[in-house]
Amino acid sequence: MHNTFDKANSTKHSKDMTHIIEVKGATKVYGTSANPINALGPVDLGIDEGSFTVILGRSGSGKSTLLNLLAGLDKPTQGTVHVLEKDLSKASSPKLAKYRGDIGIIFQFYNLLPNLNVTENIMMGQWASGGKADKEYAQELMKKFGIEHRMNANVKTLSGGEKQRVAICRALIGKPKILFCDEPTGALDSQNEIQVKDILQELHQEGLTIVLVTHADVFSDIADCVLHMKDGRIVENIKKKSMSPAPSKQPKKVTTV
Amino acid sequence: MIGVWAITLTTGLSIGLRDTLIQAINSRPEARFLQIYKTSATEFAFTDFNSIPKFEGISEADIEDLKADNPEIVSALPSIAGRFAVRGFDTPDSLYCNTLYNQLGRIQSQTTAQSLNSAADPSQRIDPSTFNPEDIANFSALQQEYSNNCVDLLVTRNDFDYLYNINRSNWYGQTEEPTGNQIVLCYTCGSVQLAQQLGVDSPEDLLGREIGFELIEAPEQYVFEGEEYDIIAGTGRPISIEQENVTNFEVVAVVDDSQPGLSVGFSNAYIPPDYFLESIRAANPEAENQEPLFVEYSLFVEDFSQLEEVTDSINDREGYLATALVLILVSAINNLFLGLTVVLSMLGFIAFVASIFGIITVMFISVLERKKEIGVLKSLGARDRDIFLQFLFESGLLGVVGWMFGMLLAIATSLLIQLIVSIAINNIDGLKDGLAVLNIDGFAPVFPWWIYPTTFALAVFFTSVSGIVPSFSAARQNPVEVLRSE
Repeated sequence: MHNTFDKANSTKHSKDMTHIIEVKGATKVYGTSANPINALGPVDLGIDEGSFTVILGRSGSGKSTLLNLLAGLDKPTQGTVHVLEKDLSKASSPKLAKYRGDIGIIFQFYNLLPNLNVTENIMMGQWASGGKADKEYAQELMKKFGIEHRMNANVKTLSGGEKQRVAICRALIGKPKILFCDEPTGALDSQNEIQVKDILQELHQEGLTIVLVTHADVFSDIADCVLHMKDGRIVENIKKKSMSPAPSKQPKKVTTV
Repeated sequence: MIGVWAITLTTGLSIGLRDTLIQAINSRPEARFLQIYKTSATEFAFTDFNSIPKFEGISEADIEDLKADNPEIVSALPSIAGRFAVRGFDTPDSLYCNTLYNQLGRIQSQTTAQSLNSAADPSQRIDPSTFNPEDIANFSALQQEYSNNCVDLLVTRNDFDYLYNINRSNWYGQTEEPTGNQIVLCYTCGSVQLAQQLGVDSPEDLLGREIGFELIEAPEQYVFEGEEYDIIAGTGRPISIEQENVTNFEVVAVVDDSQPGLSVGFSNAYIPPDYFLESIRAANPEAENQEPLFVEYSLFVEDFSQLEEVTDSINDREGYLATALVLILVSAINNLFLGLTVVLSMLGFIAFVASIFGIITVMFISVLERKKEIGVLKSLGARDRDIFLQFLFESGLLGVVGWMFGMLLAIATSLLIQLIVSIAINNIDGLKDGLAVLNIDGFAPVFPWWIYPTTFALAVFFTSVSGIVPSFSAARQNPVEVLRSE
């Protein structure tokens, strides 16, 4: 029974202080009580600090729902989600908002604000959570990701690759410990896909914890851990040899439903 | 915006009109007066003409007393009303005009009382049996007879400068103040065709003529039965009427009152007061006290603003009645404009209320259009409160912008009104000169300082309140869906 195994596994993980993300029995049910739609779970998951986790799955597999729970955009129906030692499942709305300000997130369709220029969009990463924007760091990030020359450009004039790099800068400006990526290359051509992949790999090597959701198996080669999802459950958890300087992890067993 | 415009403009208009009126009043020293009477009757009802107060004479000592208590009083003039029969007219006897006048007055009181009989409160009505039906039937005939044979001269204010100023354009003859037995005379003197009866064709023809006037007897209702007086002049107790009090005057200037002019004054003729008093003293040689008492005095103050205080202070004195015509006039005009302001401000208020729905719609559309932005901001760590406050701030900003436009519109309208009035003044014959006498060269709505913060607060308040529900809806947006869509 997977439940027994998961429970045992979770107990062990909860004592492991290197787990930056800890999910226990999380479910997400949409719809009415008469007609429930089970979008996720129950799911148990532990993610190590400094790891690069790829969550693979088809549309409707529950991978984005899981990401929403991890990124504090949504709350689980049941179970707990601990990230950065915070219990997101019990957090109040303002606490959840503060948490979202502490992590970084990028999306398939970038979600840049069209009325602001590149620099303003990046600094919005700090403004939105009520912080003071670090312009010097924003410039540093733009330089690092090769969009410095577009710093005053209207984001509507940028290419897809440039937009995603702006989004990455925005996600990083608050110096987050974790970066969540929801189909980050889903709207990009292969050339830009490689560019974004290189950036994420670089960030991972610098020690950033990355959780990436995708339906295409393009990141598996650089990931430490690949989760396969189907019908709201994790059907496969492949732990690979760490490529990062992050603390080493014990190899994981395959979890089956 | 319309609300701000309406409220600002109507306030500005009514305050502007009031200011202009007060400016006009202050420009004419003779307009800043109150009339005082001395009477033993403490209260009286207009519906009972037997209760019309019996006036007593006011002496110069009384005036000094009042001045001591009210230093605002700068000068005091006794009122001298003249009702004259013109010598040489075909009049039955010397009392003829006065008798006729008193008779007319009585009938008029009765007809006034009759019209009061329709009063809703029965106790206010007058017993019709007290009317003399014959008198009433004869009223128009008597009126005709009076106007054919008698002349009313009103010299109540005795202010030469004032008479000259308001009749400047219709003035003939000398412009210096008359002395001795000189008189400034009206050409037609109202309805009576004085000129016609004297056989003159133009105002100039009257200049230099010598005319005899019979001095007045007071209307009998002012007389206390059985009381004795020395000399009370003006509209008071008569000088002795047994005598032929015909006084000769030389016409040195004529006011052509047949021409339209600014005859807003109370006088249509001018007699030097000293000469008038001398004449009545001479007519009453048996009087012990040759210092005349007056039934009515006009007291003048420095500024319009002091009128009310002085009027109240004198009214508080035992035995005194004080009224200020301009106060009544200004308060009547104020009430008129207050009514207008209330109506238009209510329209403005309705516009404010209507704007609530507009703002709610605009804000809801804005929330829908910016769902994505809201989602992004939330994903970046914005709290519900931040989103709520941002949208509330934006709806308040709509109020600020609306206020600015409304205020600009009100100022623009005010300038337009100023322009139209100025064009009218410069293009309507005589208006400019006439208004110049009152120190008025234009009209502008006046916006008091408080109208700005008041309308600003109203505008921001209404738009902010309207923004609460849409802002709340914005804050409650779930970011998950919009973030995944393109």
